[in-house]
Amino acid sequence: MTDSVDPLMVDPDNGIISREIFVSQDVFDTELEQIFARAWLFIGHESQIPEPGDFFNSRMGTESVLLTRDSEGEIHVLLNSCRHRGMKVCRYDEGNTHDFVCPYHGWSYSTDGTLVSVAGELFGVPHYRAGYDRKLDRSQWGLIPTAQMVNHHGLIFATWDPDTPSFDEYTGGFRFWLDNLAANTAGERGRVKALRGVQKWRIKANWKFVSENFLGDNYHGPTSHSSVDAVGLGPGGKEAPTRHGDNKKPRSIGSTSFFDLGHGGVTTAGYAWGYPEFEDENMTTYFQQRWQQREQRLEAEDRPIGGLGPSTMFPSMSLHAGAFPRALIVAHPVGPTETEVWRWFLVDDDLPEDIESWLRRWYLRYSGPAGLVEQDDMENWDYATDASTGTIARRYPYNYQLGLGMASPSEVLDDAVESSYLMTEENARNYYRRWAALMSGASWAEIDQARGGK
Amino acid sequence: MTGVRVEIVRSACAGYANCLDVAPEIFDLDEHDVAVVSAGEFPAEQRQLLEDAAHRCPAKAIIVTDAD
Ligand code: SF4
Ligand code: FES
Ligand SMILES: [Fe+2]
Repeated sequence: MTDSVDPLMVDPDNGIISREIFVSQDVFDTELEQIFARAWLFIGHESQIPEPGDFFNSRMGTESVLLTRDSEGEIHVLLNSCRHRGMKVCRYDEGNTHDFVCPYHGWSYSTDGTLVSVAGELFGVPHYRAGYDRKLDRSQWGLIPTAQMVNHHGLIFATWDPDTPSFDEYTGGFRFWLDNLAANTAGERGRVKALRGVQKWRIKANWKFVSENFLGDNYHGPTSHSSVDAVGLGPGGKEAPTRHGDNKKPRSIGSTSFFDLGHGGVTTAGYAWGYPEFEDENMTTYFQQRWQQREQRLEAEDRPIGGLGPSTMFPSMSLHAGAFPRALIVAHPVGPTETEVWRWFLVDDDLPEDIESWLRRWYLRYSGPAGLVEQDDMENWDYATDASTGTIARRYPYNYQLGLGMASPSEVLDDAVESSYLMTEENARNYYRRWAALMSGASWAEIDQARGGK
Repeated sequence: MTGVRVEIVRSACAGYANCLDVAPEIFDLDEHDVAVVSAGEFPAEQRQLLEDAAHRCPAKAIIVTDAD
């Protein structure tokens, strides 16, 4: 591994980015160290672990972590690797338990506050008396907890780095996108639940292709997704020829980029991406009402009305914050040309059953490994990665000049720029600016000092 | 009040010795590092203590039942 990367590989000011950062093993290894071990990463949704003892087996970068709820109801994120010989302590996707007994030699870790002082503490080892003469200091050999953890209206995030800026500082104005993801269609935050079953699958693509796609790539839609629009996959069916059913809205929806933070989103904080017209009129009426409640609530709470389209929180969590769909995807790195993607679908926690079930089926048809829109995208990411690995191909950088110099400061957010024309690569340029800052190996203090916007 | 019966599932016990921390006067380990109990039956007042020991056994090798 190299400590840092050549700054010449990434030149956002001129819109030139080397292919190396998408295919090189060296760059990938540095990413694990400088990005995934330092950034705030999404772990799971609170509704996945409602009861004491519940756990969900999640992932940070290439490593397995356990999202747990202890007997006092507190949430923890623990590295899923035994302190004895590294065995994966828990191999289930989810479940309920107060102790994780390692399948290798039987070390036992507990999340029960009546048994241990801190969740994940080593609570027992076989042959403690005969073998260790009771001298092993169990308080020193618990499962490793993350350095920071936050519950943002039900969305759980964590980081390994104690020096990483607070979650609020790290997310900045992008929190409005996260708030929308965490809110029901009436705008109440913390009122969504994850549909049971996180979809997980692997693709032969670099993880950044996934993040970049949702970050603000409005450019690929008409070319890549024309077939799904043609068949009328959207909520409006055949008569409403877009996949979001938003054909009544103007198409010039802009784009937002958080220049220092790297996050970005299609659409702006001021633009409300309306509810679709459904084939079923009852659903149109239902969501029309919810949407009106949302508008009133957001105005009363002084929250911006927009921030609803596809977006990405640096580095690897992407989301659709509106309800059509309301989903999130995490691109977990596996290798430079392989990524494990996990998809969660979120719905209002109080939806009528028939509407919830309609949404479930539509989400599955839209996103995930079997989703038609996602399949279009995966095809692009896989082939783009593959065609960039060759000796000759690697000599030539990618072009990120779309909309260069065409963004202006947002009137709603003080840490963002907006592009009035929806097709731009401004978001990607700033994403890689952030990427390069972290990859340089600079400390958070140094990165913070260099802030100031472009 | 009926007494309590304690049983050790010898094949499950892995010598964690957690039970010894809870009730050293009741539990001990034999030459195979497997737990043994000082008696088969205990007075009802000791139920709480015994259940606590069972709860702290990572191998779930301690079984506490009513004595009949
Ligand atoms: S705690 Fe359980 S496993 Fe450990 S010695 Fe006692 S009975 Fe055996
Ligand atoms: S590796 Fe877990 S107990 Fe040995
Ligand atoms: Fe797409």
